[in-house]
Amino acid sequence: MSKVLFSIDEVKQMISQGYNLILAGDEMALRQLPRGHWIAGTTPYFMGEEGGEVSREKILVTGIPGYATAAKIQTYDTGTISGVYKDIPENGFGFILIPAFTEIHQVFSLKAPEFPDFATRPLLGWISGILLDDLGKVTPKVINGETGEIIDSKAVMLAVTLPPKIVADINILNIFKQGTGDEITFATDGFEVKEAIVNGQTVNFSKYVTEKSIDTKLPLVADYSGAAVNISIQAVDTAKGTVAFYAPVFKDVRYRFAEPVDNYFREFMSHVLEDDYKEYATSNMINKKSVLFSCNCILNYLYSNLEGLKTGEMTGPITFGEVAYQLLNQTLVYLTIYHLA
Amino acid sequence: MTIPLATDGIWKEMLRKQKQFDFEFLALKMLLGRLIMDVERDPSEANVEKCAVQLHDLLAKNQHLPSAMNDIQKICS
Repeated sequence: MSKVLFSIDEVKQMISQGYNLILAGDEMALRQLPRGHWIAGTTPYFMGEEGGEVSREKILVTGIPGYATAAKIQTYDTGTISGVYKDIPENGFGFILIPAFTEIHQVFSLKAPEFPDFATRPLLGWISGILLDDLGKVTPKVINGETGEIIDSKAVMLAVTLPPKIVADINILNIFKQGTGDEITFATDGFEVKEAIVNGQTVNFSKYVTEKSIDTKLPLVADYSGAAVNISIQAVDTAKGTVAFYAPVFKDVRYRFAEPVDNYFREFMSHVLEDDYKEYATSNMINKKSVLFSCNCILNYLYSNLEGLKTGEMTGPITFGEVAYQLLNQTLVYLTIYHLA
Repeated sequence: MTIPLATDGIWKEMLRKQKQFDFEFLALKMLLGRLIMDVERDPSEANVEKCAVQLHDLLAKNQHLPSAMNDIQKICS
């Protein structure tokens, strides 16, 4: 297992050596870093080489391999974010960091599928967060290490160009599957709803969730041609009659609550092993690929008590949302690099 | 493996869910999922053709990826 969590001094040294880095850490740790070719998002939660942990001192480092031919840092506001897919190199990937609870987070979440060239080039990343005890006291940030800007209202992307014969692909590990319960749709896109259409009948969604005693740790799941996309519930307010989500629901998408999961960790590890086996059994790519990055959701970390547990090679930041082309929730996202023959 | 032309009927069959595949390429799954909904909202021939071009172009741009190659093989077989 490679080391992924480093001290502030170790990261300072990497920066001084000119490496292209993607960093994750608590704001106070990241603020101590010198300028250089790096981007960062705030989170004190990690899946490190020793398992899940919370640290305000350590920094999780993803190094861009030396074979990358270019790595360009760009920032986006709500007016420019629509160009994000077009800015990804033809052969390479874009790695985006977006601060949680911001307008740019909302705009990207709601509009990304309508942006030009959506999904045509690999875009992955994560939504930065904070220590949950600090909610309301500090804001999630992203940092452009090149300029030293510490930003809580813009997104930052590292656009990485790969040489011919080396390609990047994004995938997800989602242990949740659509259940067999009611079909749920919504009349509008949004992070908060009052009404839902359940099996064709319009109902107050908070009342529905409460009366059905739905376990709100289970996400709503949409099936995008075989890709299960989760929408996690943030809060059910029966007094206001609203349900808030960590990612937006979309008009006309058919959702169902996920099937219950008995033991997240066991399920998760079985998915990891199943994926490895499939790869081994069906592909000639074995030994020619490597996972460069992965991240997992804070809700999976909390609901499944991942602190102290190891999740194989899948190390990385614990996030307030994941990006695999679009915003996802309660999902592990990973980037695989293939060296083609 | 050659990708079927954007005018090939296979894309329309996928968009109308007359043909379904167990795809691997995540971008294809996400885009197809969205385009199927788009076609359900607007089933006009012009819209289906526009969506077919998007699917074709996605695979054409990414045909070097192992997951996309496997999916192209599924579509062609």
